[in-house]
Amino acid sequence: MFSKAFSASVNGIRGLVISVEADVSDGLPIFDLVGLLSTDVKEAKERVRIALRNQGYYLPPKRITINLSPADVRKEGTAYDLAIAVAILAASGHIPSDDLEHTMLIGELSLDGRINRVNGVLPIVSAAQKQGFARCVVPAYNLEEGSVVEGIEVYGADTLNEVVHFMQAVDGLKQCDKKSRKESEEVMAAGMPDFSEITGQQAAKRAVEIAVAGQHNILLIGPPGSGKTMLAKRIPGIMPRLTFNESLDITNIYSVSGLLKEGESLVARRPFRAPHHTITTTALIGGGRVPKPGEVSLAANGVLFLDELPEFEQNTIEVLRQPLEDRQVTVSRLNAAYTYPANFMLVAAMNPCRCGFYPDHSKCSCSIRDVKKYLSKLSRPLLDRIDICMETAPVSYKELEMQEEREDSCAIRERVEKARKIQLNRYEGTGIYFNSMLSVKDIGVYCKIGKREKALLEKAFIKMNLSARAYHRILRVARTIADLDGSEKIKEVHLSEAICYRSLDKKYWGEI
Amino acid sequence: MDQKLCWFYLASVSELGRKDVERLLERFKTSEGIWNAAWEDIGLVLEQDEKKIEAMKRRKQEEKLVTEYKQMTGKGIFFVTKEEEAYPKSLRDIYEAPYYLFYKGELPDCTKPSIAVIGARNCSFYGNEMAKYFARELAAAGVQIISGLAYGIDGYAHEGALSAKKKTFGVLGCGVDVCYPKENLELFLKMEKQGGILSEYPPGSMPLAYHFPMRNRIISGLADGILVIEARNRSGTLITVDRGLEQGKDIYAIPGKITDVLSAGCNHLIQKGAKLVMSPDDILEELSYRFECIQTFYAEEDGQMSLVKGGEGRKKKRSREEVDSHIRRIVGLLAPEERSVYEVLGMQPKHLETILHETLMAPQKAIRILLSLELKGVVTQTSKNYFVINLLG
Repeated sequence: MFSKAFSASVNGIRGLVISVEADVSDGLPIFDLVGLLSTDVKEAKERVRIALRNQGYYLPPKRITINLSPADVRKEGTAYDLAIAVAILAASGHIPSDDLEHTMLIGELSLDGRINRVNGVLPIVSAAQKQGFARCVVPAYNLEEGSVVEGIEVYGADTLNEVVHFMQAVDGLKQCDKKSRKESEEVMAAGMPDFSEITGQQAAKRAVEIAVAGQHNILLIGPPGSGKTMLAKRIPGIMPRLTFNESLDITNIYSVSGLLKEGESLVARRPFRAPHHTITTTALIGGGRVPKPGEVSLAANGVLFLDELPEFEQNTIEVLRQPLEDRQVTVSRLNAAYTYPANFMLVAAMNPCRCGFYPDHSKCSCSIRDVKKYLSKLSRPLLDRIDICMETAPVSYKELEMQEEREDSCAIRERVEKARKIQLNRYEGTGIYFNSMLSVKDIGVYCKIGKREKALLEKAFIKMNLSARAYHRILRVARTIADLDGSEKIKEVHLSEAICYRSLDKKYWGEI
Repeated sequence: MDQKLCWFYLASVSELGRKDVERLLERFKTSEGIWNAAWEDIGLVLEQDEKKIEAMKRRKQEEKLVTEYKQMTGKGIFFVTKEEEAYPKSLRDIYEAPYYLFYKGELPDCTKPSIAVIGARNCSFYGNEMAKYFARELAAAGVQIISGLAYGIDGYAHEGALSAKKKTFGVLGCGVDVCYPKENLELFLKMEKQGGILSEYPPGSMPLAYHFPMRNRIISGLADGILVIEARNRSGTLITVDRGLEQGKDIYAIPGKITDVLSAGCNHLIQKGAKLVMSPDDILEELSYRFECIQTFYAEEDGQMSLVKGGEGRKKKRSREEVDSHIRRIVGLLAPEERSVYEVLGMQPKHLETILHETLMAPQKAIRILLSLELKGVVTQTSKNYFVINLLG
């Protein structure tokens, strides 16, 4: 007898519906699995057979053939186990096959018949919803994650028997309580590190606020212990609140990468990814034999923090240029190309020299040559994509002792959101979302400055020996500062401040 | 073959050290004598060192040497030996005086006073300002500035002298056609035209570590006095000072804070008897006893500057007072909020964050004021967002 069940695979970050056909007919007792399968799928044969037996089902000594279609897409992963088992049971008459075509079945079987968690449930369920499936059975572990999708009934199952009873309409299955979901989101959002915990660092805090307001990439330079990492970790907390779609995008990536925790539905925080400097190119950008999203995609809609920037391999850093430009990553393989999002904000931190104390001559033991050598490890093209650069200074004891009123992240976020709104309104319909996306041409349109401002910029330009690139970066940042100020015109104050955040230049840091 | 060419031959055998040449000269009296000597005799003097003898044999080709010499002078590199009149007189009598010098541009004029301005390569902003200032003022008063064309103080000293449109001389630890460090290329090219570049090593020689202590004896030898701007304890600068003391030169040092590692060397020198220098006049005063041509400026009570020759009855310009009045004058010109920022700044570079903390200003405001002060030229950024006041205008 023939039967057909449905499952799905993850293709990049999208779900792809796979039909699982089972045929049980007379012949030599053979269990065959076809349809361009990778090893992990082929091994499903053993898992399914033993799971069925351990759950008390009798496999007839007949010729069993399973086909996964479309047969020209290579199948990876273990999410098909459940669908294969159910298809066999339907083909051998244990389950009525009427409801199978409305049901998507996802789950990995263990030998005793329990259903284990799988990766990528969210994209799979949303693909099922788009294809018009009425219901979807997922591992109980992934229930919250799958329930995020509206317009489809999502059930969580612990064992194969539960699923069989469900299909026989004997028993119901667990569903997610939407109320408890909301609460868990709130718990997640609380307890984030806050800006009010940082003492001193007025200028650096201000630079960070501006960077976030215009989604500018930022480089923090300072001696060890001057709070670079502390500042960076608090950046997601002052970014605008997540919209549902952004949250869905983040959850999607996390789902595919298997980084969601049990009971976690939507990711409620903006991601903060801080890969170690020994990271490989593939891990950073995504890829691998079975393509997986890299750190740049995991940081999408959030912050990618590169601490000790000069310590990263040159090649690793160079590959960041393309995602910074295109805001997405495409990984090409023989039979498919996968596109992952990469719209992250880059936050980099470094010491000014190897010992970390330059230009404090009483502490720094580096020669000029050492300092230059250290700075020359930075990639110039990458620096060109960083609009704001700020030095952090070590905090003095007096500052630590000071009990001043410090702003918390919420207050800063309010201002950032306001500035972002101004930008969204201004650039409506142009495909630009923030000031950092302004091209040289756009700068001419949106960053016009008056006569006095021009004179100031010219003077500073000559005095500080700035480059053309620096000129454009200063205008972009000045635009953001004006937006934060709620001013349509870029004034002298805005421009002076933008000059202070300019990138490392020749005059002060030598040829780099 | 003529004497000079024989010297050129000896100079071009880089395997021979100065001591080897000295021993050869002891045995064969003149460079020509060495050229004409039998290989067995040379072998005896050089203790049968095969490497050195081989090199000497290999280089001993008269025609080739003549063409090389011509090519070299064609490139503007000159060669002078100790036996010639043009050889700097001040070098003639020092211990281990170089037998020959290669140079570009010209040689220092020994009838004029000259001061070596030396110091740390990795100097502070204060150090480089002082080097420029002293070199500029001394050069303007007619003193030739001699230094080593290295990073830091050396380079700034040359720069200061050049800015006064006066001659300055650099002594290298490599060939005069090798620019080391390469960051000084601009300076290097300027000094060829406005002063000179000297070296004991033939063109093409690399800057090897052991060349530099040897070069230091030439720097101190050429100068009438040595001014140390900034030096750490046990630094190369102090080697030059030791050589200078052996040669009987005056040592001047700029004092610093006792906690400042970059001034430790200077303070030690002062403790041991070097002259503590607070203004260029302190040096000019000493020089004016020996050199007629030294002119110094001083301020009259009514503020007019006048020129005085010689050392008698001269009043010294007080650098402290000058700096004080300079600062007072600037503060008078500033707006109140600019003044409150200016007043927390000093000669030590201060980070923006510290300035914010001390003035209790919002970053936007302080940044705007600092930029306007910088554009007015009263404040300088030493490295990005580190500020100092501009002492010397």
